[in-house]
Amino acid sequence: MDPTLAVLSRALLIVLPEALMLLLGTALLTAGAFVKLSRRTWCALAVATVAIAAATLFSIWNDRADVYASVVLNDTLSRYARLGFLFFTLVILATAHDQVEDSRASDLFGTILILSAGSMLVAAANDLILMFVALELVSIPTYLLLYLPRRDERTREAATKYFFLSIFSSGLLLFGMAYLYGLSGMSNLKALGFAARFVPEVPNIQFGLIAVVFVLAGLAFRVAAVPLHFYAPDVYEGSPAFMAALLSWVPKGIGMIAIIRVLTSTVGGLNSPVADKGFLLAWVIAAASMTLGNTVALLQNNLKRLFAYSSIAHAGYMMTGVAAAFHNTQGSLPLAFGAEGILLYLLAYGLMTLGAFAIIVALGGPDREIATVDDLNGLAKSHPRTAVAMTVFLFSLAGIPPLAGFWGKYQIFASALSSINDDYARSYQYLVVIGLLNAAIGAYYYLRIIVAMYFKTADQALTTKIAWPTGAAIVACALLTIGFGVYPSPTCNVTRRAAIEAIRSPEVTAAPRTATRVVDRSN
Amino acid sequence: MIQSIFLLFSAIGLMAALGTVLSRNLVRAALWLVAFFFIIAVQFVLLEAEFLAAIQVLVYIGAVAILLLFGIMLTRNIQGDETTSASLNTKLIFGALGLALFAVLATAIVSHKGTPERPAWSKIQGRPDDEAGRDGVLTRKDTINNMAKTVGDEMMTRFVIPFEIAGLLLTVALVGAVALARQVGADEPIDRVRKAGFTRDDAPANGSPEGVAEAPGAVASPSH
Repeated sequence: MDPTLAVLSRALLIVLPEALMLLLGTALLTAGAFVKLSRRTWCALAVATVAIAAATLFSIWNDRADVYASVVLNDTLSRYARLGFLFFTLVILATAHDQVEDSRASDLFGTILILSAGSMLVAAANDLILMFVALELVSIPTYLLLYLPRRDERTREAATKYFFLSIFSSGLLLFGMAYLYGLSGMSNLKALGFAARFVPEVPNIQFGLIAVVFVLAGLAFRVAAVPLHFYAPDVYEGSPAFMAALLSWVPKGIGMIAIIRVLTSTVGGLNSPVADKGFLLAWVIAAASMTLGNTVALLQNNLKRLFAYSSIAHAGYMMTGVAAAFHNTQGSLPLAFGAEGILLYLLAYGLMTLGAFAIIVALGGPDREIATVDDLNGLAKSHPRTAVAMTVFLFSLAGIPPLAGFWGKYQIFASALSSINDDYARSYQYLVVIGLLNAAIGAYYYLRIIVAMYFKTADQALTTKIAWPTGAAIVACALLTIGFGVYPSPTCNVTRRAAIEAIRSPEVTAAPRTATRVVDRSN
Repeated sequence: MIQSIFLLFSAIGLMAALGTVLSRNLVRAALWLVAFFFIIAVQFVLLEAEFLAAIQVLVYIGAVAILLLFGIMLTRNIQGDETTSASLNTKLIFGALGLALFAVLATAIVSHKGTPERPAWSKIQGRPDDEAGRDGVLTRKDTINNMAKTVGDEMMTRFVIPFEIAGLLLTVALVGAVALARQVGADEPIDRVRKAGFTRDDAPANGSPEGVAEAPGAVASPSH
């Protein structure tokens, strides 16, 4: 067989789960116009699609791609991240199952499926073009989801704000990616990493600097990091609670994975001017996001705004990992890789924030939405088990051992401290000190919610009954938060392997085809 | 000769761009933009990238500009003076942003250094000379002279996955726009619909039995 076709058929096999999800998601979108079913049936169909995609993912689990030729990868990061995205899709579906009227249910769940397929593609992408298209495959359904379930003045404002900022950030990202391409003339990310690392002197290094600035700026919007964070509180507040949950997790997950794939794994490294500039930029973003997010969150009484600022703060912790990841190199064995910390943190963050939002959504009744911290007063009396689950999520968000959130923070700070770079050792230490101070500040507003739940009495007790799908999602998130916390080693092993494989450029036995084809033309 | 033609068209392009920015009428601005797109196509031809020129005309003038004009005509008051006039501060900020963008682009082009094998962009003139093509590997010359074929081949082999996904992206945007524009009953906020037990004029109450049975307010048990 033609070698190009061999690479292609393998790549198509690897994206089979996404292809199935996209196919069935589009089918759901269109079927809604012809078939009338209840929203629960549509949701069950979406869940079945996710199950099929998961089964397909397991069936291609051991397929490997030719890293220098294929547009998709199936390394540890790609496989486990895709599995994670599938799991969190289930949680989101369970949270949203009752939040829309029947006539719009098929649109909503079909769009959620397409969005998840996009996020899975981001994790698998090994090519600048595919990476950008996959990121857009998440953005465009998000605009739709923001305005689909509820139509009032505030939702309209939130959707418009998100839409304009999002296309602006996509423009920045594309601009940066164009420069990344201009640096080497290759769009394959592994080949780009290989060139950046092993070609003795890369000409036109200034393109790398421009690329790092613009790509990081474009992705900072997605992860809600300073300076492109300001949309978050307004958009979260203006959209339905389950959309706020989706917005706090999916863009952050894909943004961070895209940073690992596009930036830290390619241009990162010791003694590289591009990596040093990337480190400085990530340092500033991390410090600013953590401090701003945590201090402003102290003043919030609205729950969605509080979680929006908390999401900005968590983006700051993860950017600390990005700063460390810029200085990680292939072959080194630090105590923790930056990417390792980010991935563990993402998992923990997804569990705790989606769990907390699921509770907020489930408690909201027809006549009473859970909007402020005071609405949770006396929850321990009316819903004792839910209050325990919420406490687990909040403790985990605050980073209290032995919960998943603690290990996320631990790995992030360990990666910053163990980065082998004498020139920047002091900067890393300062960043960790800022991070620890912020974790202490953050604990205050999480504890405030716990105090409200346990020690205050409500004017009017909550009587909402939690629907079983949402309840199951809450229980699953809570159990996993505790489970990863008390027995972290299997997860840590996976994230470590993922980080090592993400920055590895395999030995070139035969000439890497993508790289040579482009270079040869110019010779 | 070629160079002076190039400069002439660049000047016209610059005027078209200024016209886009300065004209107060949105439709005129859009038409200036079409002119600008066309000049870009001309520049591609002068740079001997005929395929790109064709794509530029097809995509930008044929699709983007027409879409833009339709968008303006369907949504705005075309005479609108309000829509295109901005305050001085806004103008200054966006002017500064535009200059900064220009600086970044100019720096990149001017500071580009060549390597021994491959000269800098500013040093390349005309098409590459004949090169000895190796087995199975396209030479630069082949690629440039058969650009449509090369691009087509790459899109159908190496980049077929991103290509198909881009197509799907457009489908999603289209279906999504229809879903958003579809009028189901009235545009009622969900709270009111939920109070009514999720019934709407198009979905009769007996059509969704669980909607009535589990209307959350109907359940009065204090804990779950």
